[in-house]
Amino acid sequence: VKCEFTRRLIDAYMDSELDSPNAIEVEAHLAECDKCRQILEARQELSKAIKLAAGYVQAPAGLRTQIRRETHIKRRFRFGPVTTGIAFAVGVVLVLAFWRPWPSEQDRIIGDVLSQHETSVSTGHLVDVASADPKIIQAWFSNKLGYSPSVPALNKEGFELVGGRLGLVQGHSVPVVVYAHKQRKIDIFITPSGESSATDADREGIHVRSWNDCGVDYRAVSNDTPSDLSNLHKEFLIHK
Amino acid sequence: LFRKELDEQFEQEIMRHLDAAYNLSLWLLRDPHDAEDATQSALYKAFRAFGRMRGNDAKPWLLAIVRNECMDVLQARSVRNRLEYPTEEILDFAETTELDPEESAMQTLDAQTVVAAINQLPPEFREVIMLREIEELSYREIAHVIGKPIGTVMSRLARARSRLQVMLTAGGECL
Repeated sequence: VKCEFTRRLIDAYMDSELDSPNAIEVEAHLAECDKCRQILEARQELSKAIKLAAGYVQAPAGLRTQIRRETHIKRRFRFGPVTTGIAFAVGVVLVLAFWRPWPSEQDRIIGDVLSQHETSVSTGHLVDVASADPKIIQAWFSNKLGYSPSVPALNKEGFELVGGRLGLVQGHSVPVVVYAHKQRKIDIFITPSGESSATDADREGIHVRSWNDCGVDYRAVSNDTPSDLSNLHKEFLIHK
Repeated sequence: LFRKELDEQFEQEIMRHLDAAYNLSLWLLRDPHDAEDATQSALYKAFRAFGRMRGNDAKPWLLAIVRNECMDVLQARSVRNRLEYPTEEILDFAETTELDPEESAMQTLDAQTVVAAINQLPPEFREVIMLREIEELSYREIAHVIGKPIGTVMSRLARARSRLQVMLTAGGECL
Protein backbone atom coordinates (compact mmCIF):
# COMPACT_ATOMS: atom_id res chain seq x y z
CA VAL A 1 0.00 0.00 0.00
CA LYS A 2 2.81 2.32 0.90
CA CYS A 3 4.59 1.48 -2.33
CA GLU A 4 1.52 2.21 -4.37
CA PHE A 5 1.09 5.54 -2.61
CA THR A 6 4.73 6.41 -3.15
CA ARG A 7 4.80 5.45 -6.79
CA ARG A 8 1.76 7.57 -7.47
CA LEU A 9 3.46 10.61 -5.97
CA ILE A 10 7.02 9.89 -6.94
CA ASP A 11 7.10 12.31 -9.88
CA ALA A 12 5.67 15.17 -7.84
CA TYR A 13 8.15 14.31 -5.09
CA MET A 14 11.06 14.43 -7.49
CA ASP A 15 9.82 17.72 -8.94
CA SER A 16 9.46 19.20 -5.43
CA GLU A 17 5.79 19.72 -6.04
CA LEU A 18 4.45 17.77 -3.06
CA ASP A 19 3.06 19.51 -0.02
CA SER A 20 5.12 18.77 3.10
CA PRO A 21 2.88 16.14 4.81
CA ASN A 22 2.93 14.01 1.66
CA ALA A 23 6.59 14.70 1.03
CA ILE A 24 7.52 13.60 4.53
CA GLU A 25 5.52 10.42 4.11
CA VAL A 26 7.12 9.62 0.75
CA GLU A 27 10.56 10.34 2.10
CA ALA A 28 10.02 8.09 5.09
CA HIS A 29 8.93 5.26 2.81
CA LEU A 30 11.85 5.74 0.44
CA ALA A 31 14.27 5.39 3.34
CA GLU A 32 13.04 1.88 4.03
CA CYS A 33 12.02 0.57 0.56
CA ASP A 34 14.81 -0.31 -1.88
CA LYS A 35 12.42 -0.98 -4.73
CA CYS A 36 10.81 2.42 -4.54
CA ARG A 37 14.20 4.08 -4.19
CA GLN A 38 15.32 2.35 -7.38
CA ILE A 39 12.28 3.67 -9.12
CA LEU A 40 13.06 7.19 -7.98
CA GLU A 41 16.64 6.83 -9.17
CA ALA A 42 15.46 5.56 -12.53
CA ARG A 43 13.20 8.59 -12.78
CA GLN A 44 16.06 10.91 -11.95
CA GLU A 45 18.22 9.23 -14.55
CA LEU A 46 15.48 9.66 -17.10
CA SER A 47 15.11 13.31 -16.23
CA LYS A 48 18.85 13.83 -16.60
CA ALA A 49 18.89 11.91 -19.87
CA ILE A 50 16.13 14.08 -21.29
CA LYS A 51 17.86 17.28 -20.25
CA LEU A 52 21.08 16.05 -21.83
CA ALA A 53 19.50 14.77 -24.99
CA ALA A 54 17.12 17.56 -25.72
CA GLY A 55 19.54 20.27 -26.67
CA TYR A 56 18.20 23.74 -26.34
CA VAL A 57 18.26 25.50 -29.68
CA GLN A 58 18.22 29.20 -30.27
CA ALA A 59 15.40 30.72 -32.23
CA PRO A 60 16.63 31.62 -35.74
CA ALA A 61 17.94 35.17 -35.85
CA GLY A 62 15.77 35.86 -38.87
CA LEU A 63 12.67 34.99 -36.86
CA ARG A 64 13.63 37.40 -34.14
CA THR A 65 14.23 40.31 -36.49
CA GLN A 66 11.10 39.49 -38.46
CA ILE A 67 8.95 39.63 -35.33
CA ARG A 68 10.62 42.83 -34.17
CA ARG A 69 10.04 44.43 -37.53
CA GLU A 70 6.41 43.33 -37.78
CA THR A 71 5.54 44.44 -34.27
CA HIS A 72 7.31 47.70 -34.94
CA ILE A 73 5.18 48.31 -38.02
CA LYS A 74 2.05 47.35 -36.14
CA ARG A 75 3.07 49.62 -33.33
CA ARG A 76 3.46 52.53 -35.70
CA PHE A 77 0.04 52.01 -37.22
CA ARG A 78 -1.72 50.93 -34.10
CA PHE A 79 -4.36 53.47 -33.22
CA GLY A 80 -4.58 54.74 -29.68
CA PRO A 81 -7.54 56.89 -28.61
CA VAL A 82 -5.75 60.12 -29.53
CA THR A 83 -4.66 58.87 -32.95
CA THR A 84 -8.14 57.60 -33.66
CA GLY A 85 -9.60 60.97 -32.70
CA ILE A 86 -7.20 62.81 -34.96
CA ALA A 87 -7.84 60.42 -37.84
CA PHE A 88 -11.57 60.91 -37.39
CA ALA A 89 -11.23 64.70 -37.38
CA VAL A 90 -9.08 64.60 -40.52
CA GLY A 91 -11.70 62.40 -42.15
CA VAL A 92 -14.49 64.83 -41.30
CA VAL A 93 -12.50 67.77 -42.65
CA LEU A 94 -11.74 65.93 -45.88
CA VAL A 95 -15.38 65.03 -46.37
CA LEU A 96 -16.46 68.61 -45.77
CA ALA A 97 -13.80 69.95 -48.12
CA PHE A 98 -14.30 67.59 -51.03
CA TRP A 99 -17.78 66.20 -50.72
CA ARG A 100 -19.95 66.66 -53.74
CA PRO A 101 -23.48 65.37 -53.85
CA TRP A 102 -24.19 62.59 -56.28
CA PRO A 103 -25.08 64.32 -59.58
CA SER A 104 -28.83 64.84 -59.55
CA GLU A 105 -31.12 64.51 -62.54
CA GLN A 106 -30.99 68.30 -62.92
CA ASP A 107 -27.17 68.30 -62.85
CA ARG A 108 -27.06 65.70 -65.59
CA ILE A 109 -29.55 67.59 -67.76
CA ILE A 110 -27.61 70.82 -67.32
CA GLY A 111 -24.44 68.93 -68.20
CA ASP A 112 -26.15 67.71 -71.40
CA VAL A 113 -27.38 71.11 -72.52
CA LEU A 114 -24.13 72.90 -71.71
CA SER A 115 -21.97 70.47 -73.64
CA GLN A 116 -24.28 70.56 -76.67
CA HIS A 117 -24.35 74.33 -76.61
CA GLU A 118 -20.56 74.43 -76.56
CA THR A 119 -20.25 71.85 -79.34
CA SER A 120 -22.68 73.71 -81.51
CA VAL A 121 -20.83 77.03 -81.05
CA SER A 122 -17.36 75.57 -81.50
CA THR A 123 -18.24 73.53 -84.62
CA GLY A 124 -20.37 76.31 -86.11
CA HIS A 125 -23.22 73.88 -86.53
CA LEU A 126 -25.79 76.25 -85.09
CA VAL A 127 -29.02 74.90 -86.56
CA ASP A 128 -30.45 72.00 -88.50
CA VAL A 129 -33.09 74.21 -90.03
CA ALA A 130 -32.19 77.86 -90.58
CA SER A 131 -35.12 80.21 -90.73
CA ALA A 132 -36.51 83.34 -89.15
CA ASP A 133 -40.02 82.09 -89.79
CA PRO A 134 -41.61 80.30 -86.80
CA LYS A 135 -43.92 78.31 -89.10
CA ILE A 136 -41.06 76.76 -91.06
CA ILE A 137 -39.26 75.80 -87.87
CA GLN A 138 -42.41 74.30 -86.32
CA ALA A 139 -43.10 72.32 -89.49
CA TRP A 140 -39.56 70.95 -89.40
CA PHE A 141 -39.92 69.88 -85.71
CA SER A 142 -43.30 68.24 -86.41
CA ASN A 143 -41.70 66.33 -89.25
CA LYS A 144 -38.76 65.17 -87.13
CA LEU A 145 -40.40 64.61 -83.75
CA GLY A 146 -44.11 64.34 -84.42
CA TYR A 147 -44.79 67.47 -82.42
CA SER A 148 -43.57 71.00 -82.19
CA PRO A 149 -43.15 73.46 -79.36
CA SER A 150 -44.34 77.01 -79.74
CA VAL A 151 -41.69 79.12 -81.48
CA PRO A 152 -42.41 82.79 -80.84
CA ALA A 153 -40.91 85.45 -83.07
CA LEU A 154 -39.19 87.92 -80.78
CA ASN A 155 -37.44 90.18 -83.33
CA LYS A 156 -39.01 93.30 -81.98
CA GLU A 157 -37.81 92.46 -78.50
CA GLY A 158 -34.23 92.12 -79.78
CA PHE A 159 -34.09 88.31 -80.00
CA GLU A 160 -33.65 87.26 -83.58
CA LEU A 161 -34.92 83.81 -84.52
CA VAL A 162 -32.11 81.81 -86.13
CA GLY A 163 -33.63 78.39 -86.54
CA GLY A 164 -34.06 75.00 -84.87
CA ARG A 165 -32.17 71.78 -84.36
CA LEU A 166 -32.48 68.52 -82.49
CA GLY A 167 -30.81 68.18 -79.14
CA LEU A 168 -30.23 65.14 -76.94
CA VAL A 169 -31.22 65.32 -73.29
CA GLN A 170 -30.93 62.17 -71.16
CA GLY A 171 -31.00 60.06 -74.29
CA HIS A 172 -34.10 61.65 -75.80
CA SER A 173 -34.29 63.83 -78.90
CA VAL A 174 -35.70 67.20 -77.98
CA PRO A 175 -36.36 70.42 -79.89
CA VAL A 176 -33.84 73.24 -79.55
CA VAL A 177 -34.95 76.70 -80.65
CA VAL A 178 -32.08 79.04 -81.47
CA TYR A 179 -32.13 82.82 -81.12
CA ALA A 180 -29.41 85.41 -81.52
CA HIS A 181 -29.06 88.45 -79.32
CA LYS A 182 -26.25 91.02 -79.67
CA GLN A 183 -24.17 88.55 -81.76
CA ARG A 184 -24.61 85.94 -79.04
CA LYS A 185 -26.38 82.70 -79.61
CA ILE A 186 -29.10 81.44 -77.29
CA ASP A 187 -30.22 77.79 -77.34
CA ILE A 188 -33.54 76.96 -75.76
CA PHE A 189 -33.82 73.27 -74.93
CA ILE A 190 -37.41 72.19 -74.52
CA THR A 191 -38.15 69.00 -72.53
CA PRO A 192 -41.09 67.49 -70.71
CA SER A 193 -40.96 68.40 -67.02
CA GLY A 194 -39.04 65.96 -64.86
CA GLU A 195 -39.62 65.02 -61.24
CA SER A 196 -37.65 67.94 -59.88
CA SER A 197 -38.05 71.52 -61.02
CA ALA A 198 -35.55 72.92 -63.49
CA THR A 199 -32.73 74.96 -61.98
CA ASP A 200 -30.52 77.79 -63.14
CA ALA A 201 -26.79 77.28 -63.43
CA ASP A 202 -23.56 79.07 -64.32
CA ARG A 203 -20.58 77.24 -65.75
CA GLU A 204 -17.51 79.12 -66.87
CA GLY A 205 -19.32 82.10 -68.28
CA ILE A 206 -22.18 80.18 -69.81
CA HIS A 207 -25.52 80.64 -68.15
CA VAL A 208 -28.52 78.38 -68.01
CA ARG A 209 -31.84 80.04 -67.32
CA SER A 210 -34.55 77.52 -66.61
CA TRP A 211 -38.27 77.84 -66.28
CA ASN A 212 -41.30 75.68 -66.35
CA ASP A 213 -44.51 76.35 -68.19
CA CYS A 214 -47.50 74.01 -68.47
CA GLY A 215 -45.55 70.80 -67.87
CA VAL A 216 -42.69 71.75 -70.14
CA ASP A 217 -39.17 72.71 -69.04
CA TYR A 218 -37.32 75.42 -70.94
CA ARG A 219 -33.58 75.85 -70.57
CA ALA A 220 -32.07 78.85 -72.24
CA VAL A 221 -28.31 78.38 -72.62
CA SER A 222 -26.03 81.22 -73.63
CA ASN A 223 -22.99 83.29 -72.82
CA ASP A 224 -25.42 86.21 -72.92
CA THR A 225 -25.82 88.00 -69.60
CA PRO A 226 -28.22 86.55 -67.05
CA SER A 227 -30.39 89.66 -67.22
CA ASP A 228 -30.74 89.29 -71.03
CA LEU A 229 -31.70 85.64 -70.55
CA SER A 230 -34.19 86.73 -67.97
CA ASN A 231 -35.66 89.15 -70.53
CA LEU A 232 -35.90 86.39 -73.08
CA HIS A 233 -37.66 84.24 -70.52
CA LYS A 234 -40.23 87.01 -69.98
CA GLU A 235 -40.79 87.73 -73.69
CA PHE A 236 -40.99 84.03 -74.47
CA LEU A 237 -43.82 83.58 -72.01
CA ILE A 238 -45.67 86.62 -73.34
CA HIS A 239 -45.39 85.70 -77.01
CA LYS A 240 -45.55 81.94 -77.07
CA LEU B 1 3.89 57.52 -23.94
CA PHE B 2 1.95 54.70 -22.39
CA ARG B 3 2.26 52.72 -25.59
CA LYS B 4 5.99 53.15 -25.81
CA GLU B 5 6.27 51.80 -22.29
CA LEU B 6 4.16 48.85 -23.31
CA ASP B 7 6.45 48.16 -26.26
CA GLU B 8 9.53 48.18 -24.08
CA GLN B 9 7.76 45.84 -21.71
CA PHE B 10 6.96 43.54 -24.61
CA GLU B 11 10.60 43.43 -25.58
CA GLN B 12 11.70 42.76 -22.01
CA GLU B 13 9.04 40.33 -20.88
CA ILE B 14 8.04 38.52 -24.05
CA MET B 15 10.87 38.66 -26.56
CA ARG B 16 13.32 37.22 -24.05
CA HIS B 17 11.23 34.05 -24.04
CA LEU B 18 11.44 33.73 -27.80
CA ASP B 19 13.89 30.85 -27.55
CA ALA B 20 11.58 29.01 -25.17
CA ALA B 21 8.67 29.65 -27.51
CA TYR B 22 10.64 28.37 -30.48
CA ASN B 23 11.87 25.27 -28.66
CA LEU B 24 8.38 24.36 -27.52
CA SER B 25 7.08 24.77 -31.08
CA LEU B 26 9.94 22.70 -32.39
CA TRP B 27 9.31 19.90 -29.93
CA LEU B 28 5.60 19.87 -30.54
CA LEU B 29 5.70 20.21 -34.32
CA ARG B 30 9.04 18.49 -35.04
CA ASP B 31 9.54 20.64 -38.11
CA PRO B 32 11.75 23.76 -38.09
CA HIS B 33 9.72 25.53 -40.74
CA ASP B 34 6.36 24.89 -39.07
CA ALA B 35 7.88 25.76 -35.71
CA GLU B 36 9.08 29.09 -37.04
CA ASP B 37 5.67 29.88 -38.52
CA ALA B 38 3.84 28.90 -35.35
CA THR B 39 6.22 30.89 -33.16
CA GLN B 40 5.84 33.92 -35.34
CA SER B 41 2.08 33.92 -35.40
CA ALA B 42 1.97 33.18 -31.65
CA LEU B 43 4.22 36.17 -31.01
CA TYR B 44 1.96 38.41 -33.08
CA LYS B 45 -1.02 37.23 -31.10
CA ALA B 46 0.91 37.84 -27.92
CA PHE B 47 1.78 41.32 -29.12
CA ARG B 48 -1.85 42.17 -29.77
CA ALA B 49 -3.01 40.67 -26.47
CA PHE B 50 -0.08 41.93 -24.43
CA GLY B 51 -1.94 44.92 -23.02
CA ARG B 52 -4.51 42.54 -21.58
CA MET B 53 -1.99 40.23 -19.92
CA ARG B 54 -2.77 39.80 -16.23
CA GLY B 55 -0.17 39.18 -13.57
CA ASN B 56 3.53 38.90 -14.21
CA ASP B 57 3.79 35.31 -15.41
CA ALA B 58 4.84 36.32 -18.87
CA LYS B 59 6.56 33.04 -19.72
CA PRO B 60 3.67 30.63 -19.07
CA TRP B 61 1.32 33.20 -20.60
CA LEU B 62 3.37 33.29 -23.79
CA LEU B 63 3.95 29.53 -23.86
CA ALA B 64 0.19 28.98 -23.53
CA ILE B 65 -0.32 30.99 -26.72
CA VAL B 66 2.48 29.14 -28.46
CA ARG B 67 1.16 25.80 -27.30
CA ASN B 68 -2.35 26.55 -28.58
CA GLU B 69 -0.93 27.67 -31.89
CA CYS B 70 0.98 24.40 -32.20
CA MET B 71 -2.03 22.31 -31.22
CA ASP B 72 -3.99 24.01 -33.98
CA VAL B 73 -1.27 23.08 -36.44
CA LEU B 74 -1.19 19.50 -35.18
CA GLN B 75 -4.94 19.25 -35.45
CA ALA B 76 -4.89 20.58 -38.99
CA ARG B 77 -2.19 18.06 -39.78
CA SER B 78 -4.10 15.14 -38.33
CA VAL B 79 -7.19 16.11 -40.28
CA ARG B 80 -5.04 16.26 -43.40
CA ASN B 81 -3.40 12.94 -42.63
CA ARG B 82 -6.73 11.27 -41.99
CA LEU B 83 -7.86 12.52 -45.35
CA GLU B 84 -4.71 11.42 -47.11
CA TYR B 85 -3.97 8.15 -45.34
CA PRO B 86 -7.25 7.03 -43.88
CA THR B 87 -6.17 3.47 -43.19
CA GLU B 88 -2.69 4.04 -41.80
CA GLU B 89 -2.44 3.13 -38.15
CA ILE B 90 -0.24 4.75 -35.60
CA LEU B 91 2.87 2.67 -35.28
CA ASP B 92 3.54 1.04 -31.99
CA PHE B 93 6.73 2.40 -30.61
CA ALA B 94 8.01 -0.95 -29.36
CA GLU B 95 8.29 -2.12 -32.95
CA THR B 96 10.27 0.85 -34.15
CA THR B 97 12.86 1.11 -31.41
CA GLU B 98 16.21 -0.40 -32.11
CA LEU B 99 17.09 -0.97 -28.53
CA ASP B 100 18.86 -4.07 -27.48
CA PRO B 101 16.61 -5.65 -24.81
CA GLU B 102 19.57 -6.39 -22.61
CA GLU B 103 20.74 -2.82 -22.66
CA SER B 104 18.41 -1.42 -20.07
CA ALA B 105 20.55 1.01 -18.12
CA MET B 106 19.60 4.64 -18.67
CA GLN B 107 23.16 5.93 -18.64
CA THR B 108 24.00 4.19 -21.83
CA LEU B 109 21.18 5.80 -23.74
CA ASP B 110 22.37 8.07 -26.46
CA ALA B 111 20.73 11.39 -27.09
CA GLN B 112 19.27 10.31 -30.39
CA THR B 113 17.34 7.46 -28.83
CA VAL B 114 15.96 9.66 -26.08
CA VAL B 115 14.87 12.29 -28.58
CA ALA B 116 13.31 9.62 -30.75
CA ALA B 117 11.41 8.26 -27.75
CA ILE B 118 10.13 11.71 -26.79
CA ASN B 119 9.03 12.30 -30.35
CA GLN B 120 7.05 9.10 -30.24
CA LEU B 121 4.94 10.39 -27.36
CA PRO B 122 1.56 11.90 -28.15
CA PRO B 123 1.74 15.70 -28.10
CA GLU B 124 -0.17 15.91 -24.79
CA PHE B 125 2.60 13.95 -23.12
CA ARG B 126 5.41 15.53 -25.08
CA GLU B 127 4.45 19.01 -24.01
CA VAL B 128 4.40 18.28 -20.27
CA ILE B 129 7.79 16.57 -20.55
CA MET B 130 9.27 19.52 -22.40
CA LEU B 131 7.73 22.14 -20.13
CA ARG B 132 8.96 20.31 -17.04
CA GLU B 133 12.37 19.01 -18.06
CA ILE B 134 13.54 21.66 -20.47
CA GLU B 135 11.72 24.81 -19.45
CA GLU B 136 11.65 23.71 -15.80
CA LEU B 137 8.26 25.25 -15.20
CA SER B 138 6.38 24.51 -12.00
CA TYR B 139 3.28 22.34 -12.14
CA ARG B 140 1.17 25.45 -11.65
CA GLU B 141 2.82 27.14 -14.63
CA ILE B 142 2.43 24.03 -16.77
CA ALA B 143 -1.24 23.92 -15.78
CA HIS B 144 -1.53 27.50 -17.01
CA VAL B 145 0.15 26.67 -20.31
CA ILE B 146 -1.93 23.61 -21.15
CA GLY B 147 -5.11 24.99 -19.61
CA LYS B 148 -5.69 21.97 -17.36
CA PRO B 149 -5.82 21.51 -13.57
CA ILE B 150 -2.61 20.81 -11.65
CA GLY B 151 -3.83 17.28 -10.91
CA THR B 152 -3.94 16.60 -14.63
CA VAL B 153 -0.41 17.92 -15.01
CA MET B 154 0.80 15.64 -12.28
CA SER B 155 -0.80 12.50 -13.68
CA ARG B 156 0.16 13.29 -17.27
CA LEU B 157 3.74 13.88 -16.33
CA ALA B 158 3.86 10.62 -14.36
CA ARG B 159 2.35 8.70 -17.25
CA ALA B 160 4.61 10.37 -19.78
CA ARG B 161 7.71 9.46 -17.80
CA SER B 162 6.54 5.91 -17.26
CA ARG B 163 5.97 5.55 -20.95
CA LEU B 164 9.38 6.91 -21.75
CA GLN B 165 10.97 4.53 -19.31
CA VAL B 166 9.12 1.64 -20.87
CA MET B 167 10.24 2.68 -24.31
CA LEU B 168 13.84 3.31 -23.36
CA THR B 169 14.31 0.10 -21.45
CA ALA B 170 12.37 -1.84 -24.08
CA GLY B 171 10.02 -3.31 -21.54
CA GLY B 172 12.76 -4.03 -19.04
CA GLU B 173 11.22 -2.29 -16.11
CA CYS B 174 7.51 -1.71 -15.84
CA LEU B 175 5.82 0.89 -13.76
